[in-house]
Amino acid sequence: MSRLNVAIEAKDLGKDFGLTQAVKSVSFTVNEGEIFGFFGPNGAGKTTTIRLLCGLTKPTRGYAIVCGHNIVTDPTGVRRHLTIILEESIFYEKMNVSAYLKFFAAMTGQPSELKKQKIQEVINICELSDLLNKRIAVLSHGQRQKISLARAFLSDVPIMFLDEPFQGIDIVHRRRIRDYLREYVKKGNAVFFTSHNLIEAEQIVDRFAFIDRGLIIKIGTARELREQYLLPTYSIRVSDPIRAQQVLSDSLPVNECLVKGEEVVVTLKNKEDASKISSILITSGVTIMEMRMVGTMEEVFLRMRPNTEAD
Amino acid sequence: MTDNKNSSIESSEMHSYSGTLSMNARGKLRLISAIVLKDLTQIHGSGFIILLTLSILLFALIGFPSFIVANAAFGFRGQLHLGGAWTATGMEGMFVGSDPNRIFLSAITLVHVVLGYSIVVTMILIPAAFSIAYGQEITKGTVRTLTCYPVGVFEITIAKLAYAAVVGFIFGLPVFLLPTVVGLGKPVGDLFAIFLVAYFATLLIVSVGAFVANSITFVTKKMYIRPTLFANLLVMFSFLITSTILSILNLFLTYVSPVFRALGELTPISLYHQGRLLLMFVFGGTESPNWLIFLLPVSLLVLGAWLTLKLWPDIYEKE
Repeated sequence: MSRLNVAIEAKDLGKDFGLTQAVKSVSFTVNEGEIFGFFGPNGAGKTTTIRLLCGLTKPTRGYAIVCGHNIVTDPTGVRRHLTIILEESIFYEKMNVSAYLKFFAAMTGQPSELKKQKIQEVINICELSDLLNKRIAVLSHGQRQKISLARAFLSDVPIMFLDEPFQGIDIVHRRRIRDYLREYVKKGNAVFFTSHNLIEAEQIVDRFAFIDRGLIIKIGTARELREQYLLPTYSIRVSDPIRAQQVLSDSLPVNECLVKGEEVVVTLKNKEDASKISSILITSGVTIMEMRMVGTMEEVFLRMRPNTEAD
Repeated sequence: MTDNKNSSIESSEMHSYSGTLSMNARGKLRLISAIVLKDLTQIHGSGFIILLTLSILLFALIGFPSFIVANAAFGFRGQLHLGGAWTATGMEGMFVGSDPNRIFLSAITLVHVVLGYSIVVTMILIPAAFSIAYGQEITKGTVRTLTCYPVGVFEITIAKLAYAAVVGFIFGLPVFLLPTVVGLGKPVGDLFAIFLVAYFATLLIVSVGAFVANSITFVTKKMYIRPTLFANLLVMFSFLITSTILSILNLFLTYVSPVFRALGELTPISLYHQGRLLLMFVFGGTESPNWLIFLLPVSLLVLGAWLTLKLWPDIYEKE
């Protein structure tokens, strides 16, 4: 793919199954160099949206351009530019891991020397060397998931679609894979990521999109969404938490101001006062070591949903 | 994009492969070959046992006994000699259509027997191989992983047919040749030609069946009938409507003669029937096949392939 800024552009994309509108109408863009998180409750339309974007199912309405290819007119062409992990991976159970990787390396169409390099690379990333001669049927859920990820990483393509990629993966490997994905997008590629685990997603996703009942309810960065949906609560690591608590409570209208170990956690009444926190503390002789906004994306999502219901 | 930013030789190779793969036939062929090779290397297990069992049964129960009997029967029936076809290798007749009430009773020659066995071998092994490869891929759902790559229903159907062609040939040729060579002592070249006619006729029928089933899926938007099932049915139907089979059935089931008479009208469209006429023609007979009939399966194949290209991979989900 040439240097396009937009990797994916979806416009009024929708899919009906009979009378059911699985995806009503979604429009968004995914930029090159970003990990785009797509979240929502069960049945919200996440997997159907992925299937639409990958050219696996025909949209009922709308279209999407993925790497310059229209999913409606060139679905196979779209799949040349992406690699996919679907939520439920189905394996050739009787194959051993080595044969499985070789087969899917062949499916990428890469020259043989590159295939070997790629296979070795994914074996290292996913730490599969001990599993190579084992049949897939005997592997655990987590090991299977690592093989799914390895399969996806074999392709050298500009977009990855990962539907619940970390299911069953242990902490060590999650970290390695997160690092790999971060490196992947640094090169200008894009990742379309879905998960039910928003806490984990926060560690990797650049932009969040929330879908509910087939409609996108919000798109934004973690910071933007927190600012919009959560009370302005800040956790500040300071040199003197007691002093910080005192000056902040005296100087600003706060809902709550608590000391938690080396930190003071303050919930402001007005968002606009956030910019005053640092100057107040510095003037009072308190050194700020770290300051961050508190509130998880889970909380953001839970606050968003009632609005949708009201709609 | 990754490769855009990397100036290494490997990277440029990588870039060129994605470009080359763009839409040329070579790229498609590479993916199809990968699937065929995967199936061939994974043939062990239940699929191999099924094919091996079928081969041994065909070989032991039909192959040797029928050719030993045929050899003896044809050897001394000079009085029923039908001049012309396969005279160089001694084609002779067993039955002569003498009873006007039995309209389908016709001459059965050695070509009928050898071709018949050849058809039985190929019509069992090729559809079985197709069913094993395609059927299992659909049933187990692994086809959904395949469609994550730039292959669609068309390429997957072609790959499975190619697999059936290879496996059908590997298993079918020895099962056919060994008993016929040993039992009949006819020239191997002639026997091989007969096998090839049956083999290609079966392969064409299976292909037509698969692509017509896909066309039905395209029209109905749901896979009501699997390509494997439809291909099997079409093969059986093509075999059933041959004049030889109708003749034999009519011998034993005279009370349903009108049914056979109606089916007899369809005999000319059977590729097996046309294949026999082709062989008779090649071996020096006066009959020749109706060449126009061959346009029918070819047209169906082209139409089916065209509609298959329009299918979305989600038909494997809706099944």
